[in-house]
Amino acid sequence: MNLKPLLILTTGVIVGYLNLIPESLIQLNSKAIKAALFALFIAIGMDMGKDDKLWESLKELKGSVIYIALTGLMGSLMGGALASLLVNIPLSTSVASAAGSGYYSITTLMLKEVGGPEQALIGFISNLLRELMVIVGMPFIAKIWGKAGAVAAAGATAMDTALPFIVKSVGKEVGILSFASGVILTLLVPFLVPTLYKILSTLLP
Amino acid sequence: MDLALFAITLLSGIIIGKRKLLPERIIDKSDKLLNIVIYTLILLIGIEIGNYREVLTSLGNIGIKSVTIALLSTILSAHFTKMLYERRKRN
Repeated sequence: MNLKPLLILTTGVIVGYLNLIPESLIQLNSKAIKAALFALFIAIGMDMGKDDKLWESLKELKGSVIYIALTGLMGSLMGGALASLLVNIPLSTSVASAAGSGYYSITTLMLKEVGGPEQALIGFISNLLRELMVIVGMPFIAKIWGKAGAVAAAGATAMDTALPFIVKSVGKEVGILSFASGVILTLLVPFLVPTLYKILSTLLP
Repeated sequence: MDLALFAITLLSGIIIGKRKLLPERIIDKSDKLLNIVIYTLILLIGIEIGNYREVLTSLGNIGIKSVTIALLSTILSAHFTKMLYERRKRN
């Protein structure tokens, strides 16, 4: 397994934690991440565009996108429900967090709105961890659960941060499938998280 | 908003690669470019996480709950999809 991503991430966390970078630069960081994401997308696009075989395989995948996004989401919800039973979290918090599908910024905001700081914190950490686990564990996930499982596991992050790792582990031909599945979930999360939280917390206070 | 921009960026990349709008030398190195950008991105995300001190220090009770949600949602998501996807392919 390639340990480079974990090492680089740890270095980043230490640098951020120890405030080794001046405050003014830190504020630029989220902009830098966005710029890097755009560069990433150009590079991924170029890599996909130059490969002709990719376009033939795309036709075969078209019907699978919505299917994978929705079965993946259902798996997430089941995981959230199971977690609620195992570690004593209210079903509403647990299922709504799981519905976040790795999209931690929106999930955190939504849970803060409809729940409170603790719900928001759980939503934040669990979704951030999901993103990290998917990025670091992708070679392993791809080996066990194949291309559909890999895209599903990545949830909403399949369209941006996890995309390069999925492409690297499973192959270029899933790039577009992965992106499209991530887009569907990214569009659903802002509605699903607060709705599920409200319904479940009303039914099971 | 970001979503549309990301889609446009990806599409531009695909067109550049397909129509060979940049010198072949650069397009051929797109996978190397990809690696450099990926690692830069990981470093930047790490710095962002490191800055959330509250999160890193309160990784006790809330942490265990969150780890459980993250693990189970990821695994069941992959597993459920694989199961149904393979059944669908067989039919």
